[in-house]
Amino acid sequence: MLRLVYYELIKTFLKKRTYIGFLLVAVVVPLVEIAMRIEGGRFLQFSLRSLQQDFFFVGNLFNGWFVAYSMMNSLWIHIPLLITFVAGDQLAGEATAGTYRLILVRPVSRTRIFISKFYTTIIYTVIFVGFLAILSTGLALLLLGRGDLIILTRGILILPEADVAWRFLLGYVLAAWAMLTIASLAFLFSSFVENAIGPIIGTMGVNMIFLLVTVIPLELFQDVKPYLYYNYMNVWQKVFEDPVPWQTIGDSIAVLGAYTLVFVVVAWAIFRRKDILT
Amino acid sequence: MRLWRTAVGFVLVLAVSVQCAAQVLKAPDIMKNVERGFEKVQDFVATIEANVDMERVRIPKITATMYFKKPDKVHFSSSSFAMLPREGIVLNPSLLRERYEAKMSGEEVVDGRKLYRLALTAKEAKVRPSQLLLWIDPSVWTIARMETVPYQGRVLRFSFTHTLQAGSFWLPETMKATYDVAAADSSVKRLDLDMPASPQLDEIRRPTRSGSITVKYLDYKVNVGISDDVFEKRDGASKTK
Repeated sequence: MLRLVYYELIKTFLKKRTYIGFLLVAVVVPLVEIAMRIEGGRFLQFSLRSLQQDFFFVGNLFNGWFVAYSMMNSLWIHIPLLITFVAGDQLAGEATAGTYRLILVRPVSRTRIFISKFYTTIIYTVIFVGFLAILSTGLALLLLGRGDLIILTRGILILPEADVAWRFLLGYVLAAWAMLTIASLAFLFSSFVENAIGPIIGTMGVNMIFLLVTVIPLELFQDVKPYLYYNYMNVWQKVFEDPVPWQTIGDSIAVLGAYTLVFVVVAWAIFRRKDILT
Repeated sequence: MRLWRTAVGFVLVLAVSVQCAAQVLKAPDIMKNVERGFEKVQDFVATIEANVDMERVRIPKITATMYFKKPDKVHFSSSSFAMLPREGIVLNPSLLRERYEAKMSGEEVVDGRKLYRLALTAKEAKVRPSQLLLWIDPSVWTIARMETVPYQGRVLRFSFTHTLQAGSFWLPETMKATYDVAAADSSVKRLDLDMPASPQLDEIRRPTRSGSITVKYLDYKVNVGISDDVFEKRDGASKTK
């Protein structure tokens, strides 16, 4: 099995499309963070203006941690899109290249090939989220230094610097877990079709609909929201609350894991029965 | 005999009146007494600890070092983020007397202590806040409470306790600043028609936060000769009233 995963990894990382996401992150993250440094945190001052009427602040809240936290918001739309580039190509890519028959005539079961491809998707997702974490956090700390972290969700929360690093670490681990659900959906769509464009567009379409239903505060959507995986995608954000809502995080992990499992099992069922014609 | 009684009565009334007149202090005298307690303080360094309890704001306990130098130089340094009140963190009575006209506004008993209440009005239009209410504790001649409206819609109340430092200076030991939102003036009507108020006023505008901050002053070092250079750095520096 390890050898199969190794070959799948080689195949994946020899494709140029695998590096599109890395390239975009490598360009966008420095661009945004340098721009934020030049701009000097004016938008943060604007958010704190009402408090500054009564108080003055000592210390710098516009620091690397704050910028790195802001960059994590790319986990809502941008990073899922980039992950689908690879995850959506895992099975459909073989069909497009006409190599399905070639790999399936080997004395290896379809299930083993399927699992090795899914492992590759997991590894890619983890590496990609890890790349984002290291680049965005490392560069932000380098450019803007350290300090306490201000969170501007539902009021103002200041987290002491000593209490921040572990939150980022856990936040990115949970983000990778959430991204795996997206990757699994793209993987599932990839098992249906013979071109990778479909899974990418399909996954992003589903994501956008779910995101809108989750975010728009309409009463009509309230009953539906708990059944949508996007309702739990903000699990990484929960780590930055105080106190940390461990129960909610646990529930989110379980729901996202269940979705991932369902997507993968359905994809496996389709792949096993798939009539390979190319 | 009747004339004798009248004369004695007159003398008694006169004596009591003179004594009463001598005991009633005027606002400028009270301010001078408060000032006297602070006049030997040229500068001080203190560690301050603050707890913020504001709506929609969560901040861990604040620790900072405060540097004060007369007449109005203040600087704070902290290894972490600190959020401190713009008003009332240090009150220099000399500046209050210099910038405000004080009038006696009565006496009040607060927590079993008799306090003098003074109403201070700014002498110049540019002085902010334009009005202050002070409650002075005559037992130690310190400011026990203060109330002001720093800007429209905000009511700010302070209560202070003081401690004797180096046997001769009464300096703040604790300060609690309470931030309230002033009630809307219901007497003002925009139109004579009976219709609900504009949503811009009541719904859309972000409400001012209410809450309080409690500051503890610790480890005073008085008259240590703080250099002006300490106050040059603008980050964390401000001027007191």
